[in-house]
Amino acid sequence: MLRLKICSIFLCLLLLTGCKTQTDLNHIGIVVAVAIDKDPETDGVIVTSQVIRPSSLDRKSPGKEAVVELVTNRGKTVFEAIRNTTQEFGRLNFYAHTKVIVIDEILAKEDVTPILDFFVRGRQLRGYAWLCIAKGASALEIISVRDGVDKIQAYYLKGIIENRKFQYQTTAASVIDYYRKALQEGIQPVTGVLEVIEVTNQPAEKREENTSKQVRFSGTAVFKKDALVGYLNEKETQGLNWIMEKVKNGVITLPSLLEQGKLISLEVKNSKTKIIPEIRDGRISFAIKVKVDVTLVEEQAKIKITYPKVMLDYLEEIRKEAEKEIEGEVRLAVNKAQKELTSDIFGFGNTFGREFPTEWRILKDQWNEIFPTVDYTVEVEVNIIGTDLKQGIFQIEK
Amino acid sequence: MAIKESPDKIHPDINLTISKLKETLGKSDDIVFRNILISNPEQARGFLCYVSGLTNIDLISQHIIKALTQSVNRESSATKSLSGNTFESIKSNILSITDLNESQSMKDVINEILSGKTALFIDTYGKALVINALAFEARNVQDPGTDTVVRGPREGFTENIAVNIALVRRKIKNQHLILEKMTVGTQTNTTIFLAYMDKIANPKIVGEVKQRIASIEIDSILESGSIEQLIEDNPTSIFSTIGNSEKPDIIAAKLLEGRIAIFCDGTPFVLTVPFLFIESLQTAEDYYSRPFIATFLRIVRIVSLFVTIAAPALYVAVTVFHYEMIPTVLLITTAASREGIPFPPVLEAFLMGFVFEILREAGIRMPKPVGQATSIVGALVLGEAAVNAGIVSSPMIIIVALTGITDFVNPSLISFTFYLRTFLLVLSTALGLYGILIGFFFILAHMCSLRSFGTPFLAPFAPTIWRELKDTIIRSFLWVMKSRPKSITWRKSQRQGLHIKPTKPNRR
Repeated sequence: MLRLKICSIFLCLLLLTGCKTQTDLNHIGIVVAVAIDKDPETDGVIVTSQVIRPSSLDRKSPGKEAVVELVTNRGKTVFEAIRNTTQEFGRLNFYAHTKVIVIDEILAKEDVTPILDFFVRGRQLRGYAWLCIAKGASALEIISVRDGVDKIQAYYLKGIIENRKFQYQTTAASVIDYYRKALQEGIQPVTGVLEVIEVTNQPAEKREENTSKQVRFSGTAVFKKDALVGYLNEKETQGLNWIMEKVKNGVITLPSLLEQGKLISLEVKNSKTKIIPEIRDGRISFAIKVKVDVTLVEEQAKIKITYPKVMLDYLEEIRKEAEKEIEGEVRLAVNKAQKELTSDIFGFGNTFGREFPTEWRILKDQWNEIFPTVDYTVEVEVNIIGTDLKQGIFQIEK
Repeated sequence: MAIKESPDKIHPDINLTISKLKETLGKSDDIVFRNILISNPEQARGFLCYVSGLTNIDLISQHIIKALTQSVNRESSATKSLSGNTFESIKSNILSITDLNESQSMKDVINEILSGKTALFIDTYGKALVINALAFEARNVQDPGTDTVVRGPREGFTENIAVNIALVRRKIKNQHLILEKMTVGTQTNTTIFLAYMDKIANPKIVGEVKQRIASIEIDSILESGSIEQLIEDNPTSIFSTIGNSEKPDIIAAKLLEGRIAIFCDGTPFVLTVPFLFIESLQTAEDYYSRPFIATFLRIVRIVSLFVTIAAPALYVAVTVFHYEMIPTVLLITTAASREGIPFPPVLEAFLMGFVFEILREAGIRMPKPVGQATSIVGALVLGEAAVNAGIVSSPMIIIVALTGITDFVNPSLISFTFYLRTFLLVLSTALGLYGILIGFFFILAHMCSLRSFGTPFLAPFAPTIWRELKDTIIRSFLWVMKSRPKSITWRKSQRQGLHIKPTKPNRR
């Protein structure tokens, strides 16, 4: 009898727990993108979910309807808005496969984490969903622009965000990146920016209108204390990326020194950055040391260099030019962050706190006031590691 | 002669013996009773009794009847010296037959006659000569239907126990190969041979096997499967704890590892005990081919076993509970194919799984030409058409097909995979992946509780015997497997030299 009791207790422990929320696949709506806007009327939020219509993606007999459906609803809170959709939309939305979350500029200027709290708290959303700010357009507009070759719009957005690895004019941040920086001391979060641009359609595209809309991923949205304070343009974002050691691939274009009006391109192969904080005479300063490996990939000038020595001297000059260029970008970014945005997006406070913990404990409460005034030096070391498959320059014979 | 006789003893008076014999066996018309007058060495009445279909008539007429009746003029001195005892002289001098022995028990003699031997009674002697002149139709040694190999011996056991034993003897030419005869079945009197290697097999297990077989009280044993079901340790478990094979090389290898083989007359399937779970994932070819491919194929088998048990359950769990676990594109594709399907995945899984079992059973029982028709109907009509009609989703067809194919990878495990699959499917329907976890927990707990003749069923995994793991998931190099499995013999024993790893000759 006792054995039976023990056995049944164990069975209850095992079998009465677990997943109660069982829903068949064709009763859920797979959400791939979410746009959150401010509701100007009620001060609440407008949540738009981009839901997949699976029947349109069936391989054998794809349906004629659009691949995605946009489900919009209003609510005082995000969850309220989401649950309100069930009154109008036949399926229960499921957010684990969300690729992109776009937040409206106006909403971002208030607070961001309270909006994301529902997604981050629940079991559904993955931390790797990209977080972007809609600049000059509503978030709904961003996720409703249909362009690119992907069938699913969210994959188009995901594609342009993930192309970040081929350039350094932009910033890409996931939800988890945002939270990590927002919750840390001495660093402020940044996210990517999505804009809507108008492009002219070409005949080959076979579109009805003459112009169509596209989404452009560019620059950086800068936050301070969880609220959007401004943007960095592409040049400034390059400086930010040099400091944050985010440049793994990219192009530096410089004027050619051989011929007036011609240009050269350097491809960035790798970069390393060190931020070294110092206290000198009671003043805090930072030394930013950037080490870059580049290769010469394009040379427009047509003047022949005959001797290897001359070639080396020429490369040395290019090197110096590149160093100057990078230093300029870095200074541009730091100046903007210090003077205009007053937001420590480079994590200067964070590095300082690691190096000088005791001083940091005193300073950290006033760091936002101290940051705009700190000194910094920039030291760039460019190393040309190759000139690709061609050594010299072809000269056109007259 | 006034000897007090037990009713079983053969009476010296031949007339009484004949009448008794005819009373017992006379109702059958295939039993031959033949009176002869033995002319040599002296006129004595003799009497032969045999079953006509089981004996070699040429042998009986040439070497028994002719030798006894026509050798008057060939009276040698040896015969004369023995003439005092007719029985002895016939036994040792006249009959030119190798296998003969004498018996005094009427019951034994009748049993021997029924199993095909020839009995010779001589007047005034209270005993009979049992002569082996067996000959009956039997299947040749052929390629067996199970355990087929690409590399390795192709011969398989037959229904004739003498041939089967010979096949094993030919592999193990060793005095320590012991074969003990037993008889089981009150009606069939089936001959059973217990084979083991003396000095290798554990005597305690041998004793246990003998005792278990001896305690069988049943009227018929027609196949070794009946013995298996009557001596196994866990008769109510879905796992079989007794192995079987119809290949002499496999049986020889198992004997040499210290197992005990049970040969049963009338079937090519020979039982081996103790039986470990891992044996059902090993094949003879693993040891004949090089270890690299053998190890890979072992892993294929283990993965197949997992897939055939868990695939439908995992599919159901993932599509009903854990959509976040599959990549987005796969989820969308799955969702697209599930659009408009009337049944939930669970029902689909049960339905298609059962249909597959029906098709398989139909394919096995049908004669070969019709069997092909069933597979066409199954594959095309039930698979393709069901998807096109929107009754079943296409991922489910893939899952069912995968389950079926992986099931065929381990044919000896088919007896329980269906139950485990269903068990996990039910649990995953209710509890998702957590249920699958619980299911495996229960299955493993049950398997850990099983024993086969004293050996834990999951050895060498549970209990872990580290030295033996070299022949489980991986099949190690042959020169590494130096000792016999301790889980079988219960003691340490070495089976090969310590330094047999082949090396290159030193170059001078």
